[in-house]
Amino acid sequence: VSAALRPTFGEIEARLAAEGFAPETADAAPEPAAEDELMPWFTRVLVGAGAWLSSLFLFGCLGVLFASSLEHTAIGLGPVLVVAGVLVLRAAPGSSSLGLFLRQGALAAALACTLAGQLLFVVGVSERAGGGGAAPALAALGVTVAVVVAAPEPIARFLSTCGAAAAFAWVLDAAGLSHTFDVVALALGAGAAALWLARPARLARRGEDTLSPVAYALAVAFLSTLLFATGVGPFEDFHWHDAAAPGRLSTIGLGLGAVAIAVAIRRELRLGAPTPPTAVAIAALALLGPATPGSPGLVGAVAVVLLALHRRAPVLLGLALAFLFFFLGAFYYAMTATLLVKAARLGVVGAALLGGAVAISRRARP
Amino acid sequence: MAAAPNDALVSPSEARRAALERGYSAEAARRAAALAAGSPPPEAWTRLLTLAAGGVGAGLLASALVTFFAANWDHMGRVARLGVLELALVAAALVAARWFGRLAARLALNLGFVAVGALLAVFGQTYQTGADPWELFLGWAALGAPWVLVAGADELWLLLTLVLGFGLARLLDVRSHDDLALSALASWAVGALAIGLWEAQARRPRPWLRARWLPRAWASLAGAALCVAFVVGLYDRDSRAFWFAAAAVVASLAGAARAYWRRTIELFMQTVMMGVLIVAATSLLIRALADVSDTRGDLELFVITVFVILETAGAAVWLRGEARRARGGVA
Repeated sequence: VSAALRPTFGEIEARLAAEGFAPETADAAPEPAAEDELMPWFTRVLVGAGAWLSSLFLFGCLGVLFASSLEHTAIGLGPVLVVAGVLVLRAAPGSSSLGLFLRQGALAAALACTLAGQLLFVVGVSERAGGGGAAPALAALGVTVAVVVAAPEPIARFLSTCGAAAAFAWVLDAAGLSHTFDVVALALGAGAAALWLARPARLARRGEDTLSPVAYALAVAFLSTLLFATGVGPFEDFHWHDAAAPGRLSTIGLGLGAVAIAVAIRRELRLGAPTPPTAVAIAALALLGPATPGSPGLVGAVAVVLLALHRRAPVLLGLALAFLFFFLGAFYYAMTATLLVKAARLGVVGAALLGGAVAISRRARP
Repeated sequence: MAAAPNDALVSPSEARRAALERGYSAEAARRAAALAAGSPPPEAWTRLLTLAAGGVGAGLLASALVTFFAANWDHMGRVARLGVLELALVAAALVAARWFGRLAARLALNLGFVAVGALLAVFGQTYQTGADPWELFLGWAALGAPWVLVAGADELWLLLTLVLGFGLARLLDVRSHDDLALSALASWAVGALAIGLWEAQARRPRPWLRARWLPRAWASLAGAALCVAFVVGLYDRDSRAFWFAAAAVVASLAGAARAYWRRTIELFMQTVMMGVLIVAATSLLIRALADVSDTRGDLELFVITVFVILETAGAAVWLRGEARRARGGVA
């Protein structure tokens, strides 16, 4: 699996040669490691968790300090903290005058300030608006999107994009839109798919992908939104104000989305017109949603698995598989049928998949 | 440091750097990064789809088997209840023997391991042995171990340790009157032992297990269990586990330093241990401040904020240095 998810440099060099690229110098100097090689995803998760935790303590500290005048102070202090944090996040990585510890300390402090500032600002606006209405939702969406745009630091972008996704749902809910979470799920899914599909183009243009944290965050927010439909644990009979969990609209839309991803994959691989069995398999993706009513998570997670494999993103694949297994369990739990019917459905689908696996491997044999 | 060898698996940023180090132009290096994020070739898709469809299909069939039992429970006699499961075990063994070394055998052995647990559960319910769940899980681990040994599959080793860890945690839970910290410590002990054994076998000339995700998964689970044990032990005055948890933190740090800092550099394991260290140090500070403070708390919250920021920065600096060291000093 790992060999399929990562090409060898030899394979890439062969493709480069086929496209007419050749080495220009015999012995080039060693290149500095990219930031994501020095700070792989798990290190970023640790630093992000630390920043998030410290922002909560900072928020608590400021909340206690200005408890008597939170409404006025928060609206003023929040944006100041956000702007100061973003300025440091933009300046610190390139600063050569600071030592490494000071630079990392400044980055961690700036992350905490940015996150606590966003929270303070939203709380302040909410207090002033009397706790309701569209104003706090719009404030949350505005400040989180502003940080995503202004702060190139990956952890700030990831966390603020997650916040923006939640704020987006809040805005739709405040606007009284019906099917709020269907719209949110479809919008987040479409955004994540668009960013992941365009990743090679961004890499070819700049050599690095600064929107990668946004793409990851949209995928996480998308799958998390689909959790609301599982009816398991805290999501049992889920309602947020008048908005119900993602439902039929999502299952149909996400099924079509999965088909679009499959078609995009075939187009990129230049596979031509599909054979009848392949066409049936792709069409079955569209039916996966309606065939699993009340569980749009299943088809959503399958779509993300396809995206992760297509873009050779092991972390996204692990995430999508974890959600997929959870959604499978939740689907079984939520199925309103007798146990015998459940067993028959599981058995038929399981046998069909095993048969599919055998058929695929037989067709691949020379 | 030499440029990446031709058979090295590369991410987009590694592909770009490797291309530059081999003398390609900046445009070609950007193109190399894009190619590294491109879709796998059709033959790789075939392998991936076969594995995915086979794995999920086998899982669903196993679920169907369990659900079928639940559906027909009241109508089935003892012989039928146990017989169907035993037949499933025999079938799994036959498939594994016939296609040993192939995906079908691996899936059959996975199904067989699950069927062993189901058989024990059915046996316990049919004859009302009065056994506690920990006996079921430890029995499952013992009787399932041969299947795991034969399969030599990473996912089955993970499943076995999860079953064993749950059984031990449940046992301690019963014996210690719901001391969550002690139960978590049992899970940590299983994970730590599994990592130690995995590392020992990995040094053999021909190791049984090679995939590095397995010790990483154990480390993540054991690290989380250790954090739970330490924090609960620290704050729950009825718990007797705090000093055991503290000793476990020290032992884990020493073991990780020896295996993943001195002997080799394993950034994931180092990051997990940094996480444990941060949780332990922060919860100790919070506890100490809560004990001495009688004010409204803003100063304490500020101190904790600064402390967490410094810890995070320190961890990031150290881990960056380790990443640089792993690359042979070039960064």
